[in-house]
Amino acid sequence: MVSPLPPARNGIADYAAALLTGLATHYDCAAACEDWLAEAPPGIPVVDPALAHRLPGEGRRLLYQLGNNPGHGGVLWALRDRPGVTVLHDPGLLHLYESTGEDRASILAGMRHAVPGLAATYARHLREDGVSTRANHLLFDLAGEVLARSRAVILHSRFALNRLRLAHGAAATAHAAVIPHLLPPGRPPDRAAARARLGIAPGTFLVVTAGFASQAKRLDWVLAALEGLPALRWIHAGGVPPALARRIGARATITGHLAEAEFDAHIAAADALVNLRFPSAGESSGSVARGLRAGVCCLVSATGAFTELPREAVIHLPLAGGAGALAEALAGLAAAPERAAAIGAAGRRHAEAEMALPAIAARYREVIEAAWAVPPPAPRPPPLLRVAADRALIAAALAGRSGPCRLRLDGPDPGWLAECSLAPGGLAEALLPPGAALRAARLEGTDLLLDLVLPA
Amino acid sequence: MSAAPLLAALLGRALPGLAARDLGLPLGALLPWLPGCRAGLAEAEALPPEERALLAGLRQSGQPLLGLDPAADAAADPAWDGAAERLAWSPLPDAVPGATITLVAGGMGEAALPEGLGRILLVAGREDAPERHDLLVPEPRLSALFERLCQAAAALAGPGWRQGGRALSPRQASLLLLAPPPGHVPDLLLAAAALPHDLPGPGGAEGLPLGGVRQMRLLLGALPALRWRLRLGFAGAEPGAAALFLDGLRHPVRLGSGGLVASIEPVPGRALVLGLAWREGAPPGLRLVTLEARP
Repeated sequence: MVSPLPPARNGIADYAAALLTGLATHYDCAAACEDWLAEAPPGIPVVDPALAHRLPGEGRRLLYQLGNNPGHGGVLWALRDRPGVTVLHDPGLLHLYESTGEDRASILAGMRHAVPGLAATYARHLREDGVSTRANHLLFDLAGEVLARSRAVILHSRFALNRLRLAHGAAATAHAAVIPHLLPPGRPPDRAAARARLGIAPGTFLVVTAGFASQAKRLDWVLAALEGLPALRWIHAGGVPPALARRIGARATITGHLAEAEFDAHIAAADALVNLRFPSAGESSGSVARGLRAGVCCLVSATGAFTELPREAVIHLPLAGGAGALAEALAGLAAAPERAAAIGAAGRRHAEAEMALPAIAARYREVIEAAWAVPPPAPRPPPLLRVAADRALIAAALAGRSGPCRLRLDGPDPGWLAECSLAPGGLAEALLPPGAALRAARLEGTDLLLDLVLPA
Repeated sequence: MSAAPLLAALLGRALPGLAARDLGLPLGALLPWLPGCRAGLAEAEALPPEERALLAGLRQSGQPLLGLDPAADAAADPAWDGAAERLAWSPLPDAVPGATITLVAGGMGEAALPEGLGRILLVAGREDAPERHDLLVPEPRLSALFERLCQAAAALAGPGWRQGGRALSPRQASLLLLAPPPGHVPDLLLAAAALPHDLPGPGGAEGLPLGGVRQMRLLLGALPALRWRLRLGFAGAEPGAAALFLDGLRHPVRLGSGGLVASIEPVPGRALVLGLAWREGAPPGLRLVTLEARP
């Protein structure tokens, strides 16, 4: 498995560690992680990704855990080198591409590929001014490359699958499967013990929000909902950006990032776990999975993957008037705690039936083995490198590469370009290292795009 | 390649002023045994992409490994260009351009001897596991070089060794040098900065600067398949809570006097990659100076 692992402050790292425990009953697992000192479950070695190919054993299966943040750049690069089964935790991926220095031309091409009609208008800011708007992250996904490079793709919800299918078509997503989020191994902490440990009085109604407080988790709505409910205690179990912390800090206790055991204790202690989402990109929530496992009443937005949770297992809140609906629901639960307990119990039954680790791991095995029963995808397109029009910089950029390659030269001076083109050896001799063959050249805006074949 | 230490000792003794290039990666058999040896690949395109990517991420004295970057390969290399003798180790059955002597690993097989070259057939190593290699030399120098090799072999041979040689023709000679088990496996002492690694700077006589580094890789080369006591010598600071990795997997290590000590058993047939990692980064001022390996 190629993935971030704890102690990375990343829900996918926790997910990967939990899944490894389940997969270890089916496979001789190893975890390739950029952090060589990361923590895998006992008995599962962590290996430097650059040396994972040296692990003993033939025919190793490859499973990539891919999220939409820079912590997954190495996972994307590994997938490019060796196709495998990819778990797409967030089908967006635009933030991943932007934050790991992918070439803008590749990003624009991916946006055009995903939603051609929208790209003409909404990618204009990026194309012309280099500005990426927040809307881009909702309108576009950059999953095309991952879909093409993967032997199979696993998503956690039908919503995420349908979104990808709409953007990329049925053929490109024919190898995608839905496997629900999982319940982490082990038993959740005892509720009474967790409350005692956190100093929560028996009569206190505790509202917990959890995980890193991205804007889409709408803690601003939670704050608005709880302003009229001063008797309810609110703990945010996770990190909060400074600007938001200043807003909610007077009302909520903010723990900052918690180790797994502490995180679980906060969820187990809760009377209500609130996990809102707007806008949703189709992501699933590990916090909700933990809440369901602990039998805590979960309140979620009626959007995206959350709509696939059974009506009786959680409380779905409308997006319109979300704060008001949340306030009303919390007030009702505080007034009738037995209702919260009943919903929590239904949630736990659902989770144990659908999200138990052994069943999820068996489902993974099915998808992985089916994916390895067919030939791997075709080789990836040649890499696109961006560099200034300078012979030494070009030589450095091409160092160690061979075969087809594309080079984008940043706005060379037209006069200089004309001079190079007219020189005896032409552009190739003026710009390229010895042995590099120039197959095509064209101008894109002020940039010069070269198709090359590099010597072995 | 249990014969590599013996071959290195033989060639080093016979050819004073030798500069060496080991183009046999991912094996790297000669790399640890000839001081100053530059590492590279004779057939980069034949490597699996993952191995190639690994090696492409390493630099030796600030330069890419040979065979991966045509521009860097073509650059002047004073240590090589000005050497009295230039030896290249290659798995391909042909003379390496620029080398005065090519050691063809595994021998040339049925390949014809190139025009103008002579060959010294070497049978060397451990007497219960002899290895066959070919030394391609300029034909006019064959006789003199053969004589020097024979003298070096005689000087190296100890009690119980088998040694011999004969001139077969003006273009061919053969030399046999076999040591009783466990073979000729001397202690190894290497300057860390001379080895390929993935740190941003090349390092120098004072070692590889590690202050603040969280993870680094270093290509040691191939060691004969024995159990070795490996000692990493540091200076500038205590290494602290360093973790050692062998071919990407964590390996037990203990803090010894001035260094880290581990018992290792390298996988035969490929160059060993050492890794070092610190959770919070290496202590300020820490330098990796030497690597010692004792069988």
